[in-house]
Amino acid sequence: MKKILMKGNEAIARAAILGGLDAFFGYPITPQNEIPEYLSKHLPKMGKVFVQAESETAAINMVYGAAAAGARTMTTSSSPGIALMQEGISYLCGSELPCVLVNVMRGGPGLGGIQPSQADYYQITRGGGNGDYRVLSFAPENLQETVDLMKEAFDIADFYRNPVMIAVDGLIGQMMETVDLHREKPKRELPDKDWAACGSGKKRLVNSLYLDPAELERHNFRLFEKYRMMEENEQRYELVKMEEAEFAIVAYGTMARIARSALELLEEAGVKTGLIKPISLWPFPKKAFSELPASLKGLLVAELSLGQMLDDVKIANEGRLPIAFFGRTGGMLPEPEEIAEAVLKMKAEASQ
Amino acid sequence: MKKMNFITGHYGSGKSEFAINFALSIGAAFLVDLDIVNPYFRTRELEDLCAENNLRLISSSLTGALGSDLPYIAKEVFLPFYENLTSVFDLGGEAAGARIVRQFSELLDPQETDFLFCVNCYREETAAPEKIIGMMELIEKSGGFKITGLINNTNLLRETSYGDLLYGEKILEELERRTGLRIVYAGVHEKLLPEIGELKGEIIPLKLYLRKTWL
Repeated sequence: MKKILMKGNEAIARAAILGGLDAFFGYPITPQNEIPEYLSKHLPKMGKVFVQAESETAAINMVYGAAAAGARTMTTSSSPGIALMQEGISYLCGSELPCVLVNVMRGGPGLGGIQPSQADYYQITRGGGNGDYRVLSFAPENLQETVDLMKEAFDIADFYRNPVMIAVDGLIGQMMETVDLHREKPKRELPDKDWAACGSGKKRLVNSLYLDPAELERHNFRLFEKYRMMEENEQRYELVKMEEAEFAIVAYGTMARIARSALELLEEAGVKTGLIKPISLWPFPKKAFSELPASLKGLLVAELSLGQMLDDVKIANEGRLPIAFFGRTGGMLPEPEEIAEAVLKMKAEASQ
Repeated sequence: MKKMNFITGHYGSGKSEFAINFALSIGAAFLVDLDIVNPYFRTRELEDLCAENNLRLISSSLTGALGSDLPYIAKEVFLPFYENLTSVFDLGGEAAGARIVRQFSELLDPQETDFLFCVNCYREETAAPEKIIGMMELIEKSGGFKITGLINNTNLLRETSYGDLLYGEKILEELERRTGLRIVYAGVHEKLLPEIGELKGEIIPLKLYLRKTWL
């Protein structure tokens, strides 16, 4: 199949259709509007559902309804819109409903701005809803990875009966890149949706209310067994140029992309540097940190936020290596030189 | 070349990159950013480059508000008509982006104005002649103008080959036959220039100014 040139948001929308999307519910917000625009054009023609909801709160609850009826469903938004959906996400997890959420992140807090950011890391990995719950989340770095993960996301959601979030920053949503839409996706044995309340046959109840605390605790234990399986099986990451590396940059999404250029600059400067790129944000790829070479003298965590993933790196590092931090935020993107400088500074401090 | 050059097309066809390169190559006096559709990768990010080249950039943004997605148009957008100097107008994508041209209708002299349709045949919505014609009709209806020429801007960004440009040219030749329009310009990435043979239309060398080097 020949490559075509797509805008990130269009690619997300097309990949969702290829992933089997039956019903979309959403409310507009920059910088992700091309997703609903594209889906509003294509889904009705295919006999599928597109609804522009009256708010983000309505959209996520429509997703709940469609998921409960067994449909492959999705909503997309950007940071403050995802914030509004937190209650619904907690309910989806509590009721074990599969769905796909896309967050095209912009600067915050509050209304913030429309330029790219990764400052929703806590919101994505810790969640803003109530209760003990987890959302599987992936943060791709380029459009090909985004398309591949989008197509797979619906399968993963159905497999675990849990929401799956694809988190990109606004730059990935807005940029143009070549993509191959038809790469094979990994095959999974998917269970029948024999729990879905689709209006006929045996009575089925989709619910997150438990009046008996003992039963609610059992429900939570069962959810956590599922989350443990996700931690075991869904950690994804990429290690780049780690062989004999002296330092490693830990970065995801657009920041990983900028870091790749920084690696080249550092190589020219004679400092062997590698990249640890988390692809899954939750589960955080702790496994990557047990595979690091003995040559490493330090880690630089680089984010388009001010030290959120840093916590997870500290947990995964278990106090072994010194950790430094570099962050830009509010929609500002660094040049590769700035990241390279931060590594050089780390090296200078390490040799003192 | 006409005095007033409007660049229109599908979003993601490379209009803005073409517009800045075109304005620099023809030594235009004004580059007018009329893109109120797209929130990122807009001509308004190029203030320094334009200043260095004595190209007056008129942006639709509020001063210092790069992150604004308000559909705000600077009053200076009328300056090129009053000063009557060679200008390039970068329109937003598709019909929504073309509508803005209606406010200039009384100022436009058809003899001095080109409406150039920028096409990348590797974009899903402009991959075949009938799709392109459909989009051109919507743009003309929305903006109240007639497209006067075609720009072959077929590309896969830095992966583009001469063969890709010829692939686009073949589709646009079919469009020439059906519409009577001509391929007036071809946008060619500067690195590709030594490798290309003949192409229809005047070649405009392209540097990707809006795309960061690491992207």
